Amino acid sequence: MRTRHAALGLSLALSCAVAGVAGASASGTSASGNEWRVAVLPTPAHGGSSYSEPGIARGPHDVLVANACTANAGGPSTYWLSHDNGQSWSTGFPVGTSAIGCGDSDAVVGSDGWFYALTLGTGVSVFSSPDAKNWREATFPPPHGTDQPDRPWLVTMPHHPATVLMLNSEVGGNVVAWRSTDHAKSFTGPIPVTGGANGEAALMLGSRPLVDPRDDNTVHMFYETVGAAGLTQPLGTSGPSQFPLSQLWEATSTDGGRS
Amino acid sequence: MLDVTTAFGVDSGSIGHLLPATAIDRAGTLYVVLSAQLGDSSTTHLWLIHSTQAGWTKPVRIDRGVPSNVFPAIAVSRPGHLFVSWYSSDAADFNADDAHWFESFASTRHALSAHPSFEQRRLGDATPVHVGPVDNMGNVGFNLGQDWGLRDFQAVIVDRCGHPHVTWARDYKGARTFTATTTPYCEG
Repeated sequence: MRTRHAALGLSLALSCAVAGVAGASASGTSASGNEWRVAVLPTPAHGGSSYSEPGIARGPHDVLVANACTANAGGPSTYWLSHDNGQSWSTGFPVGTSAIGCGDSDAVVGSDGWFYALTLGTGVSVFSSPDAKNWREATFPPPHGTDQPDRPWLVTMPHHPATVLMLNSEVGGNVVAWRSTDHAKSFTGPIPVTGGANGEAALMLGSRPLVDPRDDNTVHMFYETVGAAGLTQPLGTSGPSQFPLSQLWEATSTDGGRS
Repeated sequence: MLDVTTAFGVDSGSIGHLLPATAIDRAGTLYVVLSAQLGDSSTTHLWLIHSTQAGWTKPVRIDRGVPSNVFPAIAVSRPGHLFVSWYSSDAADFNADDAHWFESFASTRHALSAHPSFEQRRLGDATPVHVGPVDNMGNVGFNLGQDWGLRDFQAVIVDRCGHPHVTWARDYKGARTFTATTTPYCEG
């Protein structure tokens, strides 16, 4: 991927120019007349689970998958499935294990119905399943596993459903991508996503990448960094001196994450 | 690159609690929502920008009513129809020890206009999702003793009918994960 230096030019003088039933619910009516239904995602009676940093993704046939990770609390990444567009939800379940619980999690569903989940433990473990029941763990080449990753995200390509990207920052700094073309059985990489003289602050964390629905070879990722002070600090300096975050950057790939 | 000082015309500030909220519509328009604390103000508000042929629009404020607004998540159904969810508090500063936080939601069908108006509401019951400050430095703040109970974000998507599905966390009076959507459900 390449960093688009003038992406957010504004005109503002920018320098670069499941089968269970959900628990308790509540409702309310919006001004537009729609009734809201609020549900508590069911947690297992025994065993740990996570509740925070929830994500939600949509698949074909009204499938939804939610996930949560209460980072650094010792509990596992927790996932919930709905097969009726959120009317009911399964009890939360883990996918895979990590000796330290979870640091982050994510879940997506491909356009062909394959499920993908990840857990950040000591490294990033990515799992895939055609049915959300039988999961396999992906393989990665080095330095995966020793690269001190942070904030990983999964991306699927709607017109290339076997292709899966996983993006994460390395040592709190630059973001890289890992790419699979076999439903996340194996990944290649790392592929640099961010970098360059102006984009290389010591700390950068990316948001979930976006795939252009008109052309799924185009992928965007936005990330925040500190200002000029961060540029003088080495990668991995992710301490309080990196705050407040004051810059927003965009990285774009036009070849499906190959570069 | 957007810099908070030039984008908002302030001397200093923060554009967020770690992660910007982003979405793309079927026409390829990109939407970004930031929770920004500008200059010396203690308040934190949500600002929307979107891409155009000529670049990026000026920031437009989304939230109304309370001074502290963090962790936005966004989704878009058709072009301009934007959904936003976030945590809000009537505390004057997101670092207030007595801040009571609730889940908020807003939508507009005119996000691509120069002055979109948002319909805003609270989701969930009268129990706060969190009481106290909200860590804005992630694990770094946690290691410094900040309150990281909600961790770093929440999420919203749209289904095939264009209905929003919001999910958020509560760490007060029982840790839970919530979802919410509008009815009648999208089915059939």
